Order: sequence, then structure tokens, then C-alpha cells
Amino acid sequence: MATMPLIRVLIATTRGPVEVQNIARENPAVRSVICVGGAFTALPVSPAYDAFVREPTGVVERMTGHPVYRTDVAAPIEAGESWQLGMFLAHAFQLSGVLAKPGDAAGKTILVTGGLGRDLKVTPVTHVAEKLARADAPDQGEGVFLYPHGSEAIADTDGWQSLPVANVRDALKICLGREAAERFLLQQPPSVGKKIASWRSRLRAPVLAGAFISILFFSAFAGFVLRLSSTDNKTQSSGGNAVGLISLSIAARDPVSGECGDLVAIPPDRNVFKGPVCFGRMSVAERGEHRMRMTIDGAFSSYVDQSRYRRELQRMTGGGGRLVLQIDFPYWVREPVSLIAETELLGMDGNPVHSERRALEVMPGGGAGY
Amino acid sequence: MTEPKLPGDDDGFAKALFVASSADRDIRLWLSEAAAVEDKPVPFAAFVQCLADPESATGRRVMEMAVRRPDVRAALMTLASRFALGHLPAVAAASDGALAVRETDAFRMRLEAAYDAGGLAYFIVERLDDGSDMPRLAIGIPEAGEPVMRALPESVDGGVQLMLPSDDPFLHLFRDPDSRFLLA
Amino acid sequence: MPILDFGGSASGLRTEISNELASALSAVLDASGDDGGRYDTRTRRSLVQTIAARAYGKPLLELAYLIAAADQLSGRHGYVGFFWGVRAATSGAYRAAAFAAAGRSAAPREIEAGADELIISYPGPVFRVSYGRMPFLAALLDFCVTALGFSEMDDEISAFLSGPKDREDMQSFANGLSRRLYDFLKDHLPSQQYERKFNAMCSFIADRTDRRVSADAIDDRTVLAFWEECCSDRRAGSDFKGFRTVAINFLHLRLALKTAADRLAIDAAAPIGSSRDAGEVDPEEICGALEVVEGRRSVLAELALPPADRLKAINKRESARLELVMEAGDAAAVLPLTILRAECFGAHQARIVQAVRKRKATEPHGAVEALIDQKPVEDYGAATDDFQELTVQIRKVRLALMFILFRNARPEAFEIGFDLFPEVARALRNRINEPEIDFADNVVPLRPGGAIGRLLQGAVEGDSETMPEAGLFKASRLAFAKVNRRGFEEERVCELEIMEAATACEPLLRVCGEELRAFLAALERHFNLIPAEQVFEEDCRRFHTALAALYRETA
Repeated sequence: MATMPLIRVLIATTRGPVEVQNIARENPAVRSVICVGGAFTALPVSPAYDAFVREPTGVVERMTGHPVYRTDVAAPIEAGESWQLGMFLAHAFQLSGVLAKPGDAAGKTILVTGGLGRDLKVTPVTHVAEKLARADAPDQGEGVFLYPHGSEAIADTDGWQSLPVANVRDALKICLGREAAERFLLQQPPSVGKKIASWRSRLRAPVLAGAFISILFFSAFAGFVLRLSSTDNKTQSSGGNAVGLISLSIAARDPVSGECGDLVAIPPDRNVFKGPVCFGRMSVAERGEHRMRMTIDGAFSSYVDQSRYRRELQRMTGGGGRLVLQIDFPYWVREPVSLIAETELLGMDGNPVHSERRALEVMPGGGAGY
Repeated sequence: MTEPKLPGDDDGFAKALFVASSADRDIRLWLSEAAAVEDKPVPFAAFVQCLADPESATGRRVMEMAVRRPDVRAALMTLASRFALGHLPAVAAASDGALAVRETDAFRMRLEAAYDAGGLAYFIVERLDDGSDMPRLAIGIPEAGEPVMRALPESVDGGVQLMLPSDDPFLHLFRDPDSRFLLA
Repeated sequence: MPILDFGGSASGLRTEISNELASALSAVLDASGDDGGRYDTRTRRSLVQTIAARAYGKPLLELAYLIAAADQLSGRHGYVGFFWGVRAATSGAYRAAAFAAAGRSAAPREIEAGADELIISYPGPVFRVSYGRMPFLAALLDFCVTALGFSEMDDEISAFLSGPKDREDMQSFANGLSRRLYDFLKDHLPSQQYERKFNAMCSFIADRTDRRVSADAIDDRTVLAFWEECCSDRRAGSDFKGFRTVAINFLHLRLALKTAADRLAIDAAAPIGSSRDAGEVDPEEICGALEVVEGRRSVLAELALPPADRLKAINKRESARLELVMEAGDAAAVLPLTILRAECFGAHQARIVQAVRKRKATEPHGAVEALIDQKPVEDYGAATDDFQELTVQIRKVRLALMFILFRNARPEAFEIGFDLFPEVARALRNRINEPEIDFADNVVPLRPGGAIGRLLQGAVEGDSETMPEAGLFKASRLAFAKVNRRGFEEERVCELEIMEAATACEPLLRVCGEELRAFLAALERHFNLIPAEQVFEEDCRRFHTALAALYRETA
């Protein structure tokens, strides 16, 4: 193995490839860290890396027998899991003495994206094609792009041969060659070798475990849904939405095209709408004189002409007629806004004899960050 | 100038409004000029933000100012003391002279050497009890002299770790049994 | 914004405000939040007004309740966590914080997070604090902490929080805090100088008109005569040296008298002879009145703040030119000559003051005298022309804003179009209002899609010769090409923040244009009676006499 050409490992990210520059064993009394180019600041991904390395959660210690590493990379790696396969391979190559360091002449450069399970099966990740597109052709040697099997097939590009991999064994075979990979695996502690060699035969256990986890997940999900619905009910009662006099409807805005959709009635028991909205409309049909008002309120109110987001109408209706009031939403606002629809039925003396109010919380950003 | 009783000035409302609108204008003018002034007072919100997340842009700015401005340092210290998760007092000197662990009921702070002795040490804070709040700021307070602060990364599992150059003044303070520490 | 006060001490008008107060306010108002300021423009303005009017009594009671509730809601970090735990102090952020805290199992039962407000049921009447009010209360607490010191405030608040929480306790805490603020402001924002000015001006008007002082008694002649008298006998000391200062003081006085008179007229039911005779004035009412007059005064400041400042709609010189007109509000049409005098002779006086200061240092003797004998650099004709050009420029920038809105397919573009081209407004409006929908007259369905969508498309793609909307777009495009300022760049037109800035700028610029037009119309009426050159020559003579009395004696 010592005579094998060096392999450079690049973690594929959406901001461009990040080279694994160095891996060093570290004091077991500390935690594994990933740093940029020998700096003193650990990247935020470090706790996840520590868990990835250290037994019992990690897979690297199982392979190398050492629980803590300091790894230097050329640029920051964001949180997520797509670095795991590349980092695991870098550890394997470091163990085999074939990991290329900066300045080394590499016989092969691998660009890798993919998560890694405890069973050493490669797990899917997103933005696979985008990550490849961000990579220039390797300066020297053969270039191989490894990505999770099962993802949409990726065509070879200039300098990169794209190959899907289902597990670590596949990846090692591609990088080291079949013979060297088998030799490497034989040298591993039994638990690792076994995992890598026979993960297919162990499929049944994960499936059963998966089924159990699914049940737990669905139970938890059901609980979550129930909790959500009870929260909704609570909000509604405290929100004081009236039922009956006011009909409220909205036209959603297509987030991509900006087109306005058809009017959709908002049932009285609903007080939250997630997604952008073109306009809201209220109508009252009860005979009499009404004073109607629609308001859109939110943080944006402080810097716009507020009269634009407040509409009023006072008029008589009768004989089956309807009074309709409509208001446009501030299309550029992403924070939640409140749509308030109010109406007062006026008596002969012009004083209100009955009033109703409906409130709808609109989350144009779909509720993210709220 | 004499101030005779005037027809018209008996309306206190007009006078109060005149005083208020004049003061309001003067304040606005002052503020618009003050925008360019350096070393303005640090907003209290920035101190809180720094304590909550010293690695944020505001947090870093306050930490940087705390190094060079005594008023900012003192204010941050006051707030940190108020919301300290742990006070670690001065301790007895270690027998070998190299103090490496300090502990309260809730937290343990320790120093660990790196394998590669190339000028690096690890400062680790661990939560020992069932509590979940983790500090974001460690402050070393010498018996005499200025405190030294270090921002701590966010913890996910009750432990945080910081890498420091071996000549970092914070490490010197840690090894000095007469200094005390605050975790906030 | 430049300081344009040329009389009195070196710091001019600002002698009343201590650095400590200004620094504390500045620290609070400049605090940053998510992507901008921690407090929005309205909150910032309200805080300054509340301090200026000393109207913190009622807000401090609200604050007492909110501190107590927040402390119970927020767990370990207490009230500090609630108030400062949000980056941007907005009603939405506080609402979310309240909901999150009230939803926890350990949430106190006395506090309920309602849809629009926090409902606090301590012993005594139920107290409600709306989420919309919370940003202001947070800013007020921020100011207290910054001005009075966190340690001291925190000790006081901790003592308050450890005690019972009935209505009297809340009021007692609020009163204590109110006293501390009063003591602080007594030293740092003393009001004697302002009161002295008020009395001096009222006394002059009363002597001159021999009748009750009213807003109507203040005209251009009165302002100039007052200043001349101050210059000749120096009876007002340093309060009234600068003509521009005097002009601003009279603008404020006029507005104060007018507002007071309106209040008396409206509030007929108020028992005259009771509290008013005793000189008691509700600071809340003062603050409310201030809020009304400040709306227009703050336009220039708002143009310089996010989100409007992403477009340089008004440059520094234009802003300085507009300052007095905007400060005057409605009075710009009543005291047009005073504003023009302040512009031309105010600048002239500034140069003399500069020379006086230099003379004290190194300048040769005689420079001041030479300046006093000169006429202002800008005469009334030139200044009026400059104001006229400014109206043209504002119109051009508004057209450019219309272009940005058109390019983003925003129906608001038509609002500018309606205003600038009333002749096409009716035709367009008829087409915008969809006949099939039963809308009230005052509801313009400005939404993309439907008829307005077709109009927007027609504006950008249609023939400007035959389609009025396309004509509007063409005019806006031509104007945009001529506006060579930050943010008005073709490649940035469709950026979200540019569009937000355009939306925010437009109503502010509209107000600037309206004020300017009213001011120029009043000037025109004046100069139709007496030509501008004649007024200027006469004013040169009078200002020369007054300035000589002020500065030659000390030469």
C-alpha cells in the first residue's frame, strides 16, 4: 500500500470543493475538531465531527482505534452530513498513508459528497450536481466524483468521472482498486470489516429497527399534530374570531410566478395562513348599514404609508346584496402580518348595535423563522 | 429681561408644547450630528446580545471594544456577573504549580495539552449537573489588573471546548490560583 | 443635517441638552437589530418625543406591569431576557416571545398571551399591554437603563419584583422611576431657556399688537422686528442672536399657539378655570400634539434611514435646503418671507459669525466689518429659483421611483402617475376599477392580475402614443435615466431592497413636494405685490443695521 499513489480528498460543497489538508491524532481528553488551515478556531461542524469519530456513535474510532482527531481543511464546511463520506475516506487514506497533503503530488483526486450511516452505507444528500458544477478540473492525476447511489445520475464533466457509490466498500474499491481495498478491509477491526463486508446480509435487522423507529416516529408525529391542533384551538379562542357575519377570503400569490390565485374562503375556525397572499376580501350580507374595516398590520407598518393598508367602507345593504371590501397585501414583506377584518352593524342612530371581528395571521415566508 | 404677566402665556399648554417641540428639535439635531462621533456609548442591547451570542457580529464588536475601552469592559462585566451561570473563586495553588482544573457544583473547567506541543492548549467547560444552560462567555478576573474574556462556542451536549495559543493571557490567568472566573 | 444656528454660544441651540442625555439617547436609538436598527422609526421618534415632553408617567406604569409580567414569563433571564432577548424590537417579535413563554407548562396563570395583547391579571383591575406598544416600552426601559445605569435600575427592579404586585405597587414603582427620570432630565434637559424664549416672544407680540397673543399675530414682519429689537438692545442676551434660530423659534411658537387654540375650540366641554388655570398640563397631551406636528418634520430624517436610504432620493444640499420648509409645516405658507430670510441672511450671518471667531484667533481686523457691509451671496430671486429647481428635481425623482415600481410590476406606480399626471388619472382609474366587482369608491384594487395587471403590462410593453399608461412609463424611464444617484442604477432596479426603498421613499417625497409647492405659492403671492428685488434691497438695509449692532461693537 505504501507504494500506492497519493490521493487528494476534496469535500464537495455548494461553495466549492474543500480540501482535507491534514489529519492528526489528538489527546483523548479533548474532542475532535475541524479547523481551517491550522487556525485556532474550531468550525461549528466540530461537535458533529466528534460524534462521527468517537465510539459509540462514531465510525472513525471503530476503524482507526483512536477516538480524537484534529483535522485541517482548506475552507469552512457547513453543517449537514454531506462531508461524512469524504471525511471517512480521508481517515482511511491517512491510515493507509496515501492521503495527499498540500504540496504533495497526487495520483488521484476524489471529490466526494455523501452522508454515512453507522452501517457504512452511503446516505443521500442534496445539491449533488451543483456541488460538482462548482469544482474545477483537478490540477493533476485522475479526478473522480463520488456521490450517493440512488441520486439522479450525474454525467461526467471536464476532468471528473462521476460514480455513484452505495457504501464505503464501493468507494474504497474505486479509490484504491479492488485488491488494495480488500486488503485494507481485512486489516480493520472485525466490527468494521464485517460491517463493510456484509452490510447486505444485515439488511434485515435495520429494516426491523427501521419499522420500529417508524412506529415511534409516527406516534411522535401524531402527538405533534395533536399538539399543534390543540394550540390552534387555543389561539383561535383567544384571538376572538367571530363566526357568521363576516366572510373572509384570500387570494394566494404564487411564490414563483407572482401570479394571484383564485379566491379561497377562510373558514371561521382558521386563523393562520402560511404563504404569500395577493389580497384579502371580506364581505357581509346581513341587511342593514355596516361600517367595515380591513387592516394589515405588522413590523412593516412603520415605514410605509399606513393608509394604504387600512380600508374602510360604510354602506347599506339589503335585498340579498353583499358589501365587499378588499385590501392588497404588501407583497415584499416576508415577516408575519395580521389581517384584521371588522364590521359594525349600525343602528338607526348611527351607533353600532353589533360588531364582529376576524383576524388572520399571514405568514408570507411560510412561517420560517417565526 | 423682565417677564410680565402676558396675555396669552397663561395657556400652559402652548408653553409646554413650545418647550417640548424645541427640545425635540434640539435632541434630533444633536442625534443627527452624533451619528459620526466615534466611541459612542454601547447600547445595552449590544451587551445582552454579546452575552447571548458573543460570536455574533454584535458580540464580536462588543468583545473587541471591551479590550480597549474600560467603560465597555466594566459594563459587560456587570451584566455578566448579574447573569453568571457559575462563579469560580480563587483556589489553593496546585502542588505542582500548574493548575489545570477548576470546579463548582455545576461546572468544571479544565485545560488539556495538545498532542502536538506546537503552541496549542484546549480549554474545556463541562456541565456537571442536570442543568441545560451553557455559558457563552468565560471571564478570568485577576487579583489585580484587567479581566480577560473569551467567547465560548455554542454547546449542543453540555460541553464546550476552545483552542488557545499556549501564550494566551487567559491560560495564564487560569493557572494563577489567585484569579477567579465567571461563566456567563 | 448641518447645524444652522448662528447665534449665541458655539453650541447654539443645543446648550440645553447635556452630552450625557444625548449620548444615552443616541446609544438606545442606534442599537442595531436584525438587518438594521433595533427600533423602527416610529418607536425612535416616540421615545424622543416622550423625553422632550417629559410624558413618561403613563408609559412607566405600563412598563411596570410589563416588567413584572416579562420577568415571570422569561425564566432564568427574567425581564432582561424578554426585553432584550429579541434582536429587532418589533411587535411581532414580542408577540412571538410572549406566545412562546406563555405556552410553557410553567407559565404563570396571571398572564395570558392574547392575540393582540398581554393580559395581566394581578390583584386589582386587569391590565393589558398590546404587542404594538411593547417596542416603545422596551426603548423607554433601554433609555432608563442607559441613562440611569443598569446596576442601579436592576437593583430597583429586583426589589420591585420581589414584592407584591397589586395596582398600588405598580404605581409606586412607576412613580419612583418617574422621579428618577425627572431628576435626571432636570439636570440634563433643563427647560428654563425654552420657557424664557417663549415668554420673550409672547411679551414682544403682546406689546406690539396690544391684544391676546395668538398664532395669527405672528407674521413675517413680527419675526423680523423681534430680531431687530433683540439685536439693537441685546435684551435677550444670547437667546436670539441668530436670525435662523429666531425664525425656528417663531415657527414653533406659532404652531404651539395654534395647537393650543384648536384644542380649546375643540374641547369645549373642558372646564376652563380648573386645572388649566392652575397651569397643569397633561404631558401625554403634549406628547400627542407633538406626534402630530412631528409627522412632517421627521420626513427628512426618515429619508435618511432604512429602508428609504437605500435610494439617494434627496442629497445633502437638498436636504439642508428643505430643512426649514419641512420644520415649518403649514406655517411655510404663512411665514414664507421668514423662511427665505433665514435661508439668505442666515447663511450671510453664519459667515460673519465665522469671521468673528477667526478674528478672535488670527484673522486681521476688518474682515468682519467688510462682511457686514456686503450683501448675502444669494438674493431672494436666486433662492426662489433654487427652490423651484428643487421642486423639479423632486418631481424627477418621483418619476424615477415610478419607473422602479413599473419595472417591478407594482401597481403603486400608478399612484405616482395619478398624482403627477392628473389629466390621465381619470381614464386610468376607470380602467383599473373592475366593473364586475362591487367596490366602494375609495377602494382601488391595486393588485397584480386582472385589469391592473394588464395595465402594468401595457405600460411597459404598449405604445406610448396611444396608451396613457405606456406614456407614463415612458416619462418615468426618461426621468430615471437622468437621475444619477446611489440606488438609481438600471441593473439594480429589480432588487428587492431597491423596490422596498422606492415604496418607502415615495410618500415622503410626496410630502416634501407638497410643502415646497405651498411655500413657493405663498412666496409668489407675496412677490406679486412687491417685487422680490425690492424686498431684498429693503431687507439688506435692515439686516445691515441689525448685524452691525450685533457684531461691529465687539470688533
